[in-house]
Formats: sequence, structure tokens, C-alpha cells
Amino acid sequence: MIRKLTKCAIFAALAIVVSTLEMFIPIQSIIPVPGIKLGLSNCIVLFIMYTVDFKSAITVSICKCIVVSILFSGPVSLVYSLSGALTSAIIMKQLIKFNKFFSIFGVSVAGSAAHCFAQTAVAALILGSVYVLKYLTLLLPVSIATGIIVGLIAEIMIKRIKR
Amino acid sequence: MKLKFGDIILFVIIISIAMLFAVSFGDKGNVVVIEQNGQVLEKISLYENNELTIGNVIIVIQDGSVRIKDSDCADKTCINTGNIDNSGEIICCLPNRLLVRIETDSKEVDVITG
Repeated sequence: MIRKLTKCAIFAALAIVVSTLEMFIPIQSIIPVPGIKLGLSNCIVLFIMYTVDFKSAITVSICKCIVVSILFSGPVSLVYSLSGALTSAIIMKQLIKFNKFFSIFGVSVAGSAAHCFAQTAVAALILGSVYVLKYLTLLLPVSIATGIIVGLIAEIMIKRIKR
Repeated sequence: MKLKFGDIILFVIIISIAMLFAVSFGDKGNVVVIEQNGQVLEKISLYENNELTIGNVIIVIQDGSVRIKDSDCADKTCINTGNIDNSGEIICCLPNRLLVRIETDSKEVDVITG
């Protein structure tokens, strides 16, 4: 129990650091879509999901969202990040059940795509306009690329980090 | 890196959903619609050079395309989006809850061509 708690705390802290560092990657100026990012902290959530359990993973994810939005942005961004984080965690959990059919890359890509869906839906609600959904044309193909990168990192983490 | 069967299917599904959202892109539009908080503020022709200020956002319509010239938001994504001129394209400034999109209005076409 204590071991699990410590592990979650360490990885939550790591997730916060990773998402902070991620802010320095200027992906938004290359692909000008609001809120686009690599989502590297998702590899930590994936790692916890594969090595500990779903509950811990979702706790780490929520902790990360809350701390990052308190530190760097306002309550509005908390709504965006929480909706994305929760949706992607739930989708990833469902796909992990079918581990004969989906590898960690599929799970990661699905999580990233679900994250995009949820955030664009929230943006559409906040802006009161369905036209924001147009951004999915760009976001979804990008989510495949970022999902594969995240999956790759998570795979290496699972192999290298001793339980 | 080893992909499984389901992964490939998933990728194909995601790409096809993206294509579905892309369908309405394409034709050159003729009306600029500016929305804030879900309400249409302005609906003006794309072919008349114009400069509008909505709150702290400056929108410029020039030579048949529209861009956000300046904004007080932190991320400046709206400015980085650059020019848009096709029907269905959007510029979005989330911090200002502002949306600039292009439509094709058949009435407007009559005015321009006739």
C-alpha cells in the first residue's frame, strides 16, 4: 500500500515535470491549433496503467491536471485538461482489456485521439459553436503520430523500470 | 515496436473520421462570420478590405482572405494560424472565446458576380 502510494506520488511529480517541460516545445507555432501538444505525460499514465492499476493511473492523471493548471493557467484550462484526461484514461482502460488485439501503441493512440475529441467537444460547448470540431481534421492525424511516440516511450519505461 | 491487427484498424478508423470532418473544406468562401460566445457578431464580405476590432482582437480582411492581426491572448495561436480563405476554415482564439469562420452565402455570390 505504502509502496503503491509512493510510486504514484513519484510518478505524479514526474508527470508534472514532463508537462512543464513540454510547454517549451513550440509545436503550436508549427501546427496552429489551440491547445495542441505532444502529451508526453500520457506515457506516465500509460506506464502506471500497465504496471500498477487503473485507479492509480487516473489519480496520477487528475493530480497532474490540477497542479499544472494551478501553476500555469486558469480554471478554464482545468476544464479542458480534466475532460481530456478522464476520457482518454477510460478509453485506454477499455482497450487494455483486449490486449490480444491492441498493442500499447493502439492503446496510446486511442487515448490521444479520445483526448482530442473530448477537448474539442468542450471547446465547442464553451464557445457555443460546432465549427470548432473542424480542428479534428488536423488533430486526429496528429494524435496518431503523438500517440505512437508516447507509446514508444511508455514501452521503454515498462521494460527498463524495475517494479 | 510491434503493431497488432487492432492497432492498424484503429488508425484507419481515426484517419477516416478525420476525413469526414475535412469534407466541407475546399471551395473558396465569400462571407466572414465572427462569433463570440456562440453569438454571431459580424457577417461581412470577404472581398471588401476591412479592419475590425472585437474587444482586444484586431481582425483584418484583405485581398480575399482574413487573418487575426493582433490579440491580447497569451498563446497567440490565433495569429499563428495566418490567413484563411476557404469555406469551412476557422481561426479560433480560445482565451477570447472568439471564432472567425468563412462561409459560402449564395446571396452574396449573386451580389459579387452580378
